[in-house]
Amino acid sequence: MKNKWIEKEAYKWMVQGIISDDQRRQIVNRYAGPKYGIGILPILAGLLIGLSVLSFIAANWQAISPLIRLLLIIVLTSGLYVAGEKLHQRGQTWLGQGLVGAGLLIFGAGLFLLVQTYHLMFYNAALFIVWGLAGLALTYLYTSRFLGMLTFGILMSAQIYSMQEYHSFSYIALLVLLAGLSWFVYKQKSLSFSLLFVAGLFIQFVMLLDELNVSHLWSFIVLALFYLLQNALAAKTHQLALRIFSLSAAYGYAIWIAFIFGPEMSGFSEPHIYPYVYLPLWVILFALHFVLRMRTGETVLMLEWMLFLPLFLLPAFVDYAYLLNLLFFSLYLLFYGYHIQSKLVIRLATISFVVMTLIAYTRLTWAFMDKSIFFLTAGLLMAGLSMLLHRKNKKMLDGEGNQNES
Amino acid sequence: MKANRSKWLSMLVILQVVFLLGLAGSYYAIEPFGQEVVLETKPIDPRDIFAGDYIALQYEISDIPINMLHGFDQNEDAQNEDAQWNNWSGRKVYVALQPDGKRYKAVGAFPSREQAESSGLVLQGRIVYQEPESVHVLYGLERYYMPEGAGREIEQANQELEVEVSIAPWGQAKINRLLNK
Repeated sequence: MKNKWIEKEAYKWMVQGIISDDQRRQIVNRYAGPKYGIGILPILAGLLIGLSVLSFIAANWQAISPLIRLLLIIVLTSGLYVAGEKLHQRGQTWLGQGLVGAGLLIFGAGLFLLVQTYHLMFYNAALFIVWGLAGLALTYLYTSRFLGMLTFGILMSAQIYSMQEYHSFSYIALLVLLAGLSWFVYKQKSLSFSLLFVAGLFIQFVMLLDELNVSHLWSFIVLALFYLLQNALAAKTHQLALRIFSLSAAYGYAIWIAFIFGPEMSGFSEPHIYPYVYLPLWVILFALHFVLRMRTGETVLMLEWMLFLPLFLLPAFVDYAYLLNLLFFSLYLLFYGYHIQSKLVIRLATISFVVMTLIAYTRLTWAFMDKSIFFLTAGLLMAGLSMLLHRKNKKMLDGEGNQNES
Repeated sequence: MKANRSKWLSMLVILQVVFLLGLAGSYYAIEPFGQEVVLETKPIDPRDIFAGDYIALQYEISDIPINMLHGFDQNEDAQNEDAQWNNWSGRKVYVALQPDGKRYKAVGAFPSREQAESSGLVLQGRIVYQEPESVHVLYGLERYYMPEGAGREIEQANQELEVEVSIAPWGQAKINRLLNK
């Protein structure tokens, strides 16, 4: 266990000129134990003993008196924290963080077990918030992505619990998530964590819309705001996370609308949409997008905004409009994929086009005329495009070939 | 850096332990600091009130008539019947109690403690669902944990019981004991 520490220290001594590289190697070899195999046995043993203790407590929980329960929770939580810290200090970073995370989980479980033991009544998600704050502190203490994800999960559960149990939105849960975790996510620069975080924020904002009694169709505005936020962030990872999430969420959302809106329905007359606030706001956001893209010269990207179009305000045929829009977006994606020469985007665009055509088929089977016109258009588009793209593709491959040759 | 983190971690652990102790302590402090009242239970469905090591209880004050609710906002979206029904579910409610002989009865229910205090002794609860003429309130007093064997006797006796409850000034309440009627 000690060899990692010795390795680090010996390296420092060497850099500082206390010992030579040769001496460093000798010292390290002196302390190097068996590297794998035996080292894992005590960990496994510890894990098994821990599990046996936990399952024993769980099985006998009802028979344990309340004060002993309290003691057990306190001893387990602090024991795990201390053990985790000790391991972390010795260089066993992952295992250390794992134990600290387990301590955090036991702390949360302990909170709810005490609530049950003492029949405590709560009127909001306060306990979840306390739990999340503890997680937040640990996340920063260890700058650990693992603990950060755990805390994210706790704070999301806080909001879901508040909505389900108390039918009210917890502004504090959102605030703690935003104020507490966003800086950490920002510093981490991990695409997956950023995507997860943005998705969580979006879910909370949708819940907030529900709480404010505003139509869920305002989610497009939220997504457009996420999309625009890219411009304020410097790191490519964050920009990409915001762009991927806002576009794919708007895409999925549009499919859903195409299914729930009948052909005679219009969002304009629906309650809680407030079109006279929605439209001007939308125009302002679009203008911002337009100006920013003009400035950077990325005029192609202007088209991405089509996913945020408030087509539900049309007087009729909202579902057709969304399906057509998604087809156009697939074409844009295809074009964009060739533009940036990304095989992944091209593949996604092709799948998207086919899926949209299939959805159109399931949606439009009842109206014979519309169906035939739709397929005619889709077919012609597809034929034209395949010809065009084939030619382009050939050029692209030729280009690659030339590059390889030279 | 390492020493620093250990310091912060120990502070964090102490904070968490204090919080856990506080949760438990608030319960133990109810009896010495609280006021004792006697509440009347009523028979409940399902009939088998004995469940494992506790018995399930429902009180006369578990259902508060709508006309006793004061100061709760009416739903502005009157066309939406669903919204009207669930309007108050999940809301915190302060129930004012007045003695009626030996027992305490509800005299009003309010959205804030200040409003309720002027009408009597205050017990806090949560509205869980709404019926046409009343709301159902949970107080955290719905389970009484019994020493082994005692539950069966209660079950065999009449299900209408009197329960002695302590209400702390900070709003928490706990059952002290069951009384024979």
